[in-house]
Amino acid sequence: MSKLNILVVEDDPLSREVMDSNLAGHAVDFASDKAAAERKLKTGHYDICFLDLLLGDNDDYSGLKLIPLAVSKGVYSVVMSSCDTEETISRAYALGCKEFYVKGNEQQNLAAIIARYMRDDGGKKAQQIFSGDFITNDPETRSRVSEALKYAATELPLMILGPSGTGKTTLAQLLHAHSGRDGNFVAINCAAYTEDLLESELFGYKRGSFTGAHENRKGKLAQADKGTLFLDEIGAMSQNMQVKLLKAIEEKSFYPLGADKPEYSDFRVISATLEDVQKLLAEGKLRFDFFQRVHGMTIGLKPLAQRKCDILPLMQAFTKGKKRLAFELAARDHLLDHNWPGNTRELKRFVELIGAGTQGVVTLETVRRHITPAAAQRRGIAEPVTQAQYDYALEHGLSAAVDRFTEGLIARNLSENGGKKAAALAQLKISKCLLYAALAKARKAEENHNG
Amino acid sequence: MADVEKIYHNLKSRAVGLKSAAELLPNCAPEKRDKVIALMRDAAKEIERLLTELEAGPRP
Repeated sequence: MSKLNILVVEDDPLSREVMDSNLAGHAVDFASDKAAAERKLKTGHYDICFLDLLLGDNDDYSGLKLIPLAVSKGVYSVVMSSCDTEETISRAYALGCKEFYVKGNEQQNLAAIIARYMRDDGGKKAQQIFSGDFITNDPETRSRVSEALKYAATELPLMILGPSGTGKTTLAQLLHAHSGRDGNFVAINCAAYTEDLLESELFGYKRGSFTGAHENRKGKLAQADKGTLFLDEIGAMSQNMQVKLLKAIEEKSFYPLGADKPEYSDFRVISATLEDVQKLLAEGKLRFDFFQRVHGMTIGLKPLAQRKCDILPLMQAFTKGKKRLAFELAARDHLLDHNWPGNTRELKRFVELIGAGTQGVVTLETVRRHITPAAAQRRGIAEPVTQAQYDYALEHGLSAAVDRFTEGLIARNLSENGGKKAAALAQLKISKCLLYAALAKARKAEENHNG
Repeated sequence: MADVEKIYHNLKSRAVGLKSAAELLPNCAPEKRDKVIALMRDAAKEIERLLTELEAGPRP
């Protein structure tokens, strides 16, 4: 069963203990009075809310008064009380509560309520998220995403960690969608820009502030006003940029390039990186004060190899509205056996390749042709080379073949990243020297080819 | 809700809480068990107080 986010509004400490024990395995939050409950319902993300009818000795049915708020937030509301008069029950249902729970036999009753919730609206809501917005059947990932959603509507900065292609941007978009913020979701990949370009992208610029600045341009910070600023690959940001951004995050104000007045923007930060944050901190690549500002709550996403139950649902999602793919049993097993080092991005590309080039049932041979290299890596042996690569090495020597392979990888990466060198440097983990040498060689080869 | 109704409500609520906690006790971890027992004592004292209040109040 998925881990649910549950709010228990209960003034009696003994009853809270009882609820806590009986709801073990779920993320349970407590509020002991009406004000705390209102605050939590407004800012948190809960699947179920158990509301005690009377909160305190002289309370006037606060539990009933909280129902409309819980219902408006889409929370499955359950009123619990030892006072079960017809009138109270009718009022609770009229206000939109889903169940009226008479205290006692908690173990059985709570299990039954949760089972009904899973079958009913709440189950549908969770199912909707995990089969549409963020596709996963992996219980641990579901639990992590559900936990993160609890913080979606808060002002806390969130940090998403995980290898490339694990769905960091998708999760950031989901968190924005649940944040209740009216503004835009504005994403920027910090690795795709040089320092100067990143500064103008983030802060914007005024007309005439530099050569080529023919008009005023809003930066990402301004675009994310009342919305979410998603900073991807923050590890690639220079120390200097981190200082500037830290100030902007703290003060919610910044100076566009060439501006003499500050601009204000109410943005919420979600950041992501595929790198080891502790290592970045230890190496001094990530400033501690900047890190402190952006890591309010950290969510780790697992690579696809550790959540293989997601492979087939993701494939289904990638083919939605397109030609449906049918796989031989052996081909399907091979897919599940593969480690998908490029994660969902690799899986998507694979589905597109297969979808475009295959008629009828997809065979094991077809699958192998497209994903053999990584399968070989999984077995711990060298990747097989193509016949053409092998022939080239025999004819020109290993060093020339390696150079050619390197240049091919760089050219493909640049093509996939729209020619952005900073992205190639970060993604291929190569030095500037190697990148420029490869580009010079490619240019020379092209010149020779053109005569 | 009239005062006497509130007393009955609170009595039922505390008694149900005690019953549920008693069902929970056998499976409690030692540190949690001590905490639950302390809370049960408080609830029992509250029941005692509510009963005294009920005795002192007007009889139906």
